[in-house]
Amino acid sequence: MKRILVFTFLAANLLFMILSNSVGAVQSFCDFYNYEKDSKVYKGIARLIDKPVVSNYLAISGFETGYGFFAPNVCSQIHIAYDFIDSTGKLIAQKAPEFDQHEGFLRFTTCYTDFVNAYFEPEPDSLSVKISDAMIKCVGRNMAKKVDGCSDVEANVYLYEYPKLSDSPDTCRPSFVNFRKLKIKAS
Amino acid sequence: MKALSLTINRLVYPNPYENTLKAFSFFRLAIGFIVVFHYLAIIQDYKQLYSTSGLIDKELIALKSHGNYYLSTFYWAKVTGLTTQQLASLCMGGILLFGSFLSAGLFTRLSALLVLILHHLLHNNGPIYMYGVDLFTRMSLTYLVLFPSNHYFSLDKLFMKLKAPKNYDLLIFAFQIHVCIVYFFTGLDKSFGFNWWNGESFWKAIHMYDNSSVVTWFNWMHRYPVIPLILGWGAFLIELLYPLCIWMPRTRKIWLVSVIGLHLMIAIILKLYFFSAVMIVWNLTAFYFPFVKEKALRHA
Repeated sequence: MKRILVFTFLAANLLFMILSNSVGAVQSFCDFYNYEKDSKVYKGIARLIDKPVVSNYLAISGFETGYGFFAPNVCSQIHIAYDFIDSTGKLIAQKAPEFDQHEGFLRFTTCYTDFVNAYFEPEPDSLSVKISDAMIKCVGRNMAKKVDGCSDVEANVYLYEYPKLSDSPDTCRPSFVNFRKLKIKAS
Repeated sequence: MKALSLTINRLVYPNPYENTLKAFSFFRLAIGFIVVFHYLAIIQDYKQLYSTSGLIDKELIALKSHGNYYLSTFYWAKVTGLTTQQLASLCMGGILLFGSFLSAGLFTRLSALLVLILHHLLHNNGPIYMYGVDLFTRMSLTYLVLFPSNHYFSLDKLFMKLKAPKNYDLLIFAFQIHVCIVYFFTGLDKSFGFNWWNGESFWKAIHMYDNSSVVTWFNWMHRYPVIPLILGWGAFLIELLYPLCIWMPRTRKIWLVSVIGLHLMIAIILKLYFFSAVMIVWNLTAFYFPFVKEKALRHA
């Protein structure tokens, strides 16, 4: 009896995993190629996975994980640098958030992916854009506490670009395109 | 049910009992070590990420919180009267303590469960700082709650009389299927992107901003675009064909070495050390240890 229960549990587990990843794969394909996700099967599976019992179990066990790493495309990256300015308007420091360990930097920059998704979505005034702006400003404000005499901060958000394979082979240097400036009052 | 189990045993393992239990024990030992070292690597930057004096205010982070509210320090701060910072420090300490218990095989299942709960508490209110390794750590800990992983190299074995485990064959088989699902969907998702077919995605991945220290290593490839093209195809074909080739005795070793090589490259180039370590452990547990004596048995 116990064996049947274990078998059922493991089979259900694998089934949910396959279903949630199928939904994820369809979603990423449709988002990437701008297709509508109006299939009844897709909607039915998505509804089943969203049921509180299933979704909570998958979230707690970690089995909700989607496996589309670096797919369907490698996401664009951004770099954020902060200018710290004193009350006379003089630039006193210029830096990006610093961490002691690479793991700390890696974790912190994970949130940059959310910023990229927000800034490059069609809606320029969406809630995610507002949250991203607020977070970038908050980082600047908190960093300014450690810069003596700072009264204003300017956050510069750069899009990091490396020449494509199809570009001329002589231009193998990264470029940083400044696409967003945010003014912050240091308090 | 018994017939199915026998078929699985014959199909999958030459020496199921011993090898499987060794595989589970290796899994426990390795995941325990990775968890401890991972959190030791975060500890210096912990204040900037998870404390109330962190770079991003907790109220803003909470806007992005999507985890279970009851498994977050926000909820438990209200219940216990402690601050979220005190609770986060306790979680960090608890993860290091019970992670050490886990690798030592002390109260193994309970330790795995506690690390899993503490992992949720610490990360559910800071999900913006989570990435792949955290989710794979959670799944690994869930498996460690289920697996009989204390039968070798454990303090439990030393101090307690352990019962012979049951259903270990179903557990390892489910884990092996899971590893196949991971690689199949990773490869499938990549195959949807046309840039993986022309080498651009591979080129972009090895020139990401985070790997600025190694970014110039590969500039020579720009003159021979066929190389990133082949490597890009190689990466997603290894993943897509994994569920097929890892089960075939003739291709198993090649695929295992290839996929471990892929993760070593990810560790070196993309600097995702802990993620790569977890994935290598998953591969060795699922498809190395259970088959260790296959050749010897075939000759016998």
